[in-house]
Formats: sequence, structure tokens, C-alpha cells
Amino acid sequence: MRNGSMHSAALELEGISKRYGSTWAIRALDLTVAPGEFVTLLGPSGCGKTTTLSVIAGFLEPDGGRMLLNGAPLVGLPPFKRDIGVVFQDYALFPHMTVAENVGYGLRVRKVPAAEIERRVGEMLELVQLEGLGGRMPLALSGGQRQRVALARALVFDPKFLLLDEPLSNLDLKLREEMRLEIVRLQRQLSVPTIFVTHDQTEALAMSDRIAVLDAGRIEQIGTPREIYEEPANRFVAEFIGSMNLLDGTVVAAAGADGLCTVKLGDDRTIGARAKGNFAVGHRVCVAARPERCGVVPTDRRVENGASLLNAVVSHIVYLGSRQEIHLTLPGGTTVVSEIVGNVDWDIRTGMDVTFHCDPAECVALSAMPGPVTDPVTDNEPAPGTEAI
Amino acid sequence: MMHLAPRPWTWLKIAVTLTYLFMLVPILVTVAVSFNAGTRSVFPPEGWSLRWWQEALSDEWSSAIFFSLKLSITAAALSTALALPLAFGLVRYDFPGKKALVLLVLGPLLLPTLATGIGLLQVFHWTGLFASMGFGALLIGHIVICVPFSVRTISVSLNGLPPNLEAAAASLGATRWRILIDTILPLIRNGLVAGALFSFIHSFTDVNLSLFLAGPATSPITVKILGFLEFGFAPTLAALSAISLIIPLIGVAIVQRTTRLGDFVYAERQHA
Amino acid sequence: MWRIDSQRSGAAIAVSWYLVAVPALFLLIFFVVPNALLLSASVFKSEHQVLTSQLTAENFVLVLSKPHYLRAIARTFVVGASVGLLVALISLPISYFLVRTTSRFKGLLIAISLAPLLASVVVRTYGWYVILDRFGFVNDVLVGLEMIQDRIAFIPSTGGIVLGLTHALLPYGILTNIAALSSINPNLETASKSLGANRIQTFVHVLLPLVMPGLIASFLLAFSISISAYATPAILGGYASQTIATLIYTFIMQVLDWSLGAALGTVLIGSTLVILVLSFRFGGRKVRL
Repeated sequence: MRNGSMHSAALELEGISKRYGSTWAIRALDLTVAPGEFVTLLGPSGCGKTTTLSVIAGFLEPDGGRMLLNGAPLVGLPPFKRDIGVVFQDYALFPHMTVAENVGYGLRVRKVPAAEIERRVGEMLELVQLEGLGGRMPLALSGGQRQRVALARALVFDPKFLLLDEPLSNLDLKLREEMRLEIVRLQRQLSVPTIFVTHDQTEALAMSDRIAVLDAGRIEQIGTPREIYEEPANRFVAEFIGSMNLLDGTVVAAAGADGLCTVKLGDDRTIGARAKGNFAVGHRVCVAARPERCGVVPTDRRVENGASLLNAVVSHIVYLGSRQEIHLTLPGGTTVVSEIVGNVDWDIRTGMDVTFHCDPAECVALSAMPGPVTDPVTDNEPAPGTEAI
Repeated sequence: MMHLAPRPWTWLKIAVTLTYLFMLVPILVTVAVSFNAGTRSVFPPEGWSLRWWQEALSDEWSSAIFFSLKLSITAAALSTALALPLAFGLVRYDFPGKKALVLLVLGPLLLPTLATGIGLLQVFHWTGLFASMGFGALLIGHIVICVPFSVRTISVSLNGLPPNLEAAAASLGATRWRILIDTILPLIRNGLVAGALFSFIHSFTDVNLSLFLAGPATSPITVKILGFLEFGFAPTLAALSAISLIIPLIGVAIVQRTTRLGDFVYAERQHA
Repeated sequence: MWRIDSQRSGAAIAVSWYLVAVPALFLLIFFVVPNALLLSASVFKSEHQVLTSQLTAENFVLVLSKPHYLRAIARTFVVGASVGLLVALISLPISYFLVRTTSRFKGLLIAISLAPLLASVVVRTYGWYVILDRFGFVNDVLVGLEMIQDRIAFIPSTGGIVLGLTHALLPYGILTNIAALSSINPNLETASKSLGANRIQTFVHVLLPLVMPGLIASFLLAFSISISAYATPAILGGYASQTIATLIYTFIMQVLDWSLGAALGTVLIGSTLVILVLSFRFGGRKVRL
């Protein structure tokens, strides 16, 4: 809509840092959001997500860095001049104003004529499916309805950008799933560039165009949900998103043309994996494999060619209805999990010797060090899924 | 827990009942005496009449009551006006000297009112202003002793504001002034009213300060009753006492309709 | 909650100074200056309500040399300590009840216990006069029951002052103790009993240590208000039972000897400051709004 203009980016953050006392809340943060794009900041609590939003909204002045909104610098501009809509975790609805007054507030302070306020508030309430509730007080609304009012209020003045600070965390599961779709629908319809903050990976995967995974004030990886899930850039991302089997080992054969390297685990067994980095023989790495991509078979059954095979003992089985988790212990004590949809077609029991197998193409070898691989350039590039295979 | 200890709970209830009796009986006795038909202040009353109430509402006494009302209402209003920016500054900002300012604000509550009264009397005397000040001298003193009550109550309100509201208003385009007028003031209105009420009550029931600043023509009702007690405990004074108890009660009843005063009393004490 | 850092910036400090300047100046002129003047007046000689520039200790010497004044000072502190003790002890059971009760009248019961604060001390002391006077209710009852021959003058007396002040200050004790007790998890007592402690052991080992700061705070609060109370000693004490406050009134308003009044005022301020320090140290009191 109004973000089109000549700039290819709606929002550009360059080297943004913010310090509280001597601790860095965010450190040299680079982030670009394209017009109409929905970007999620995902990370554990205290990783700097909300601080980033506060800096963008103008409540905190960054200690360094550049911020451009549609090409115009933001630093130094007070919050009320930024035209950035914000939805807060607790919604922060004005308790002394009606729903319509809440939604119309941004227009009222912009001195929009009353008749136009009424029209635009009406349209907005219709858009968030709250028509007819304009006269209610916020306290008389359900959690989901308050959420919709907060969205309407942040969108009605046609903001240049939208910030959503964990807006779903106060809703119960069912409502949360409904509101996910609702928010994405609205964002698409209005095509307003958005940063969404959450610690919930499912939300991030389900809603985002791109996800930025944050830890300790730094971006660990930026990419599409698929890239983040399939091609974690490092151990932190691998562990934080979804569940992951992690096996420490040493490279015994560097990656060839197929991009696959061979890793020796603690015992003499080896496992193949796509190398995420230039690992030479002798490098310590960590092999990550998703439980749903790993299988378990009886020791006497054969597995398709090319799969890595490991001996294991069934330690326990968790029945989850639609799927089952088979927890296994490898020689040396490492625990791995295989997730199987539906029922297992053979008689599997606790204590049984079995074969754990996974396709090397589904496994990635990451630097064993926790944290980023020290190469910040990879941050802004799509994860190199193609070059590895 | 009740069901674990039924018998001690009974003993506790007896002790509590006795405590309530101890607290309420003297006040109820005073009210009863004011309806006495006889000329002596005795309990139980020797017959019932309204003669002492009639006397208490005569011009001589009602003018003192109105004087007290005027004094306390003005003091409450002005102390609230002074307290609002104080509370706002103290709750919202960090600045050098903040601790000292907190002590200054709480000072009139912590140090004896009596001493402040004497000190003010001396200041007004030595500047030669006392004779011409009259009501003004009392008013200044009463504002001083009311400020801590107003500041504390307003601070409770400010601290209790829902988080992020001001950030939300700013993100929607509201300037500092708009935020104050549209968001903060309407939401702390109850605190302002409660603070003014506590100030009013504190001022209306004060003796220790007024004692030194009152003049023959400018005597609040409490000081005037106290002066007359020297000449004996006439039932008129009982009626006046009852009236000066009823006035704050009416204030509480009015404010309680819109504001939960308990919230402020508690929050206030927890910090004391 | 979102952090907003513009409140610590230099501009914000300027804003906050503008906000507090006028009220702070008002308190400086009409609270700090008078109290400072009172303190300094106690160490200067005065003639006919005019301070001379002559430094002297004779005001204090005079106050401390006359037995009548010394007795008044001693009485003030004895009364303060007795009232503090009584207020702390009497307010504990009722506060415990008010915090733990599940009665649906809880709010009303608390309100009633605090309601006496709405009445001036003058009002509250009047009733005691009617009850305790030589021709009052208690004497009437005792004579009627033929338990005494001659009527007893319960007031004026030091005991009358203690009774009147205890009555007047009880609500402060209740407020303080309710605050202290509210923060104690009721399950602690249940837990203590489940571990085999009886009620007395539970009270001594669990409740008492936790409520002690509240008890000390209510003692000190009642003490500090008592020593500067004027109305109650004036009504129930009389000339034979003077206290510092009534002496000050006599000096300032009747004898017009402001230096002696100031010296006694200094004693009051000094004692109050000591009590304050004690209550910060032992009563959990904090310099907070």
C-alpha cells in the first residue's frame, strides 16, 4: 500500500545495539524487512526480542546503529512521530475508553474529522470481526476479542509498520491457533510490513515469511521457516527449533562432491551427514537429526542402502496417539529419539536391541561449538541448502 | 486454618469482640450522651432530648464547624495540587536528590506535628506576618501536614497503572501532554479523590498543629471543643464531637461509592 | 513491561526538576525552616518572644533542673512505652483474626476497626471522661453494686492518659500488624503442625518470629505518636500529670517562654528521630512512598 515507494526495504536495521548498564541487550543487530513481509523474531526470554521492538518503536534510543523506515532515518524521532503500530502482550487497551474510542484514538490524536474516524473505526471493527461491539468497554470483552481490538487499534491509522509483541501468549491453545490465522490474514490483506516477536517456535513456523532466531542479543540465523527447520546454521538453532537428536563426533572423511562428510561417534560407529561448514578431517562436529527422519528396525531387518546404522537399546516408548516416540540408548550412553507416525509394524519392547537408522541427506553436521560459526555474513543470506547437497 | 483449630479460634473471637468493644464503646457513649435530657454528661443518659444538638447547631458552634470545613477542604485541594507533580516526579523519574526529596515529602508525617506547629508559629511571628495571616497561617500548616498523605495515595495510583498503556498511547501518536490528559489523569482519578479525602480527614481531625496556629476568630472545631473542655464536659460538646465524627464518615461514604478506599489504605501501609 | 529509557536522560531530569520544584520549595519554607528554627531557638536566649544572638545551654539546664519538668519528661516516655506495648499486644490478636478470617463481613470488620481514625482524638477522649469521671459510669456501677463506698477519681491520672492513648492509637497498630501478617503464608502454620509442633510451639517458632517486625513497628509507631500527643494528656491527665506536649503548650501559649518551649520541642524531635532510626533498623520500615 503506502510502503511501495522506491525503497526495496520497508525497515532496515544496521548494527543496532542497546545496553542496560554493562550488559548488552542487543548487539550489532542487522535486519531488513521487505515491504509487506512478515518477519518473526524468535528466541528464549531475555534474548533481546522486546528490546529490539522498543528500539524500533522509539521507546529506547539505541546505543549505536542505523534504522531506516521506508528510507527515512528513525533514530532520534519520538515514538509518537514514527507511525508504527504496536500490539502489546497484555494488549494495553485503555480501560477507561470504549472499544470504538480505543480503536479511534490514533486517528483522534491525528486530528482526523469525527465523521471519518467513525467510518474508519467501523470498517476496522468489521475487518477484525467485531462489528457491533464498538460501545463495549475492554474489560467486558473476552481475551480473543481484546486481542482483535488491539490489532484494530494498531492498524486503523494506516501505520507504516506493525510490531507484535507476543500477542498470542495470553490466549488459550485453541484461540491461539485461530488468532494465528487471523493475524496472518489481516497482515496479508493490509500488506503492512510486520515484525512479530514470540518464543513459541510453532507460531513462528506457522506464520512467518522469514524467521530471525535470536539468542543473547544476537541473530543466530535468518531464513524461511523451512530453512530454519531443515538447515539450522548452528547448534543453538538446531536445539531451539523443534526436537533434535544431537550426536557429537569427529570428522573422519571430509565432504566430497555430494556434500556429505563422515563422522565417527564415540564408539567405532560412523554416521554420514551434510556438512554445514568446511570441516576438515579431525574437526569436532555435532550431527543433528530430526527424530521424525530417523527410524528404528529389528537388528535382523535390512535398511535401504546409504543409511547410517547404529546399534541401540530401547529405553522407553512414549505413546502419543497419532505418533510414538521411541527413546533409545546408544553404546556410550547418548540418548536419541525416533518419532514414528502411527503404529510400529513389529513387536518393539523396552530393553530390546534394535538398529537406529537415518539417511545422511537428512542429517547435518554442525560446528561443535555452541553459538554461531563466527561468520556473520551467512546471517543475511538464505541458508545454503543447495550448495550442501 | 479454621478446621484444624476450632477451640483456639473461639478464644480468639472472644478476644476480638472485647477489642471491638474497647474501641467502640467510648465513641458510642459520647454519641449517647449527646442525646441526654439532663444537664450533666452521664451514661446511661437521663432521658432523651435533642436540646444539646440544637445548641451545637447554634450560630456560635456552626460557624466553627464551617470554618473547619472551609479550612480542611481548601487544604485537601491545595495539598492534592502540590502532591500530583511531586508524586509524578517521584514515581516516574530518576534524578539526583530523589531520596532526599522522598524524606522531605514524608517529613511532616515522620516528625511531630506539634514541633512543626510551634516552628511555623515562630516563623510567622518573627516575620511579623502572624497577626495579619489568620486563616492563611492555619491553611499553610494544614497543607504541610496533608502533603504526605496525598503524595502517597497518588503514588499508589501511579504505580498501579496498567503497564504499557503510555507506550501504547505514544505508539498511536499521542504526545506527552496527550498521554497525561487522555490516559494518566483519567486512570488515577480515584487516587486523586482518595488522597484528597485522606488529607481532608487528617486536616479535619488535627489538634496538634491547629493548637498553635489558631486564633480567637480562627479556631477549627477540634481546638474550640478542646478549649471548652477546660470549663467542663457539657453535653453540647458531646453533640459537637458526634457532628465532627459524622462529617468525615459522610466523606468516606461518598467517596466509597466510586473508589475502593481499602486499596489505598493497604498499599499505603505496606510501604510504611 | 516495556522499558522506556527517555526517563533517565538529561532532558527527563530537567522535566522532573520542573515538576517537583514548586512543591519542594513549599515544603522547604514551611516545614524544614520552621523545624530548623525551633531547633536553633532552643540554644539561643530569648527575651519577650524575641531571640537574641546569645548562644546558651540554659534552656536545657532549666528544663532538666526542675523536678516538675523532669517528672513530666519521664512520664512522657513511660506513657509512650506503656502505650506502645499495649497497642502492639492488643492489636496482634485482632489483626490475626482480620487477616485469617473467611467471614464475608471481613471488609466491614476491617473498616470498623479502622473507623476510629475518622474521629478526632478530642472526640475519642470525651467518651473516656464520661466513663471514668468521679461521677461517671464506672463509679455509678461500682457504687450501685456496693463494691465501693467512696467514689474513685480514675481521672485525671497518668493511667488515664495511657488508657486514652492506647484507645486512640489502636487502629495504627492494627494497620501495621495486618500489613505484617498479610505477607505470612497461612500454610506455614499448617506445615508446622503437620511436622508435629503443637499450637504454642507453632506460635513461638513460626508465627512470632515472622510477625516480630510488625510488632516492633507498631510499638514504635504508637510510642512516637504518644510522646507528642497533646489532647489526650490535656483532657485525661490534668495539671498533676503533665507531659512534654502539655508543658510545651503551657510555655509557648501561656507563659510565653518560647526558648523553654523550643528546648522541649527539641527533646521531642530528637526522641522521634531515634525512634525512626530504630524502626528502620528493627521494624522493617523503609524510606519509601
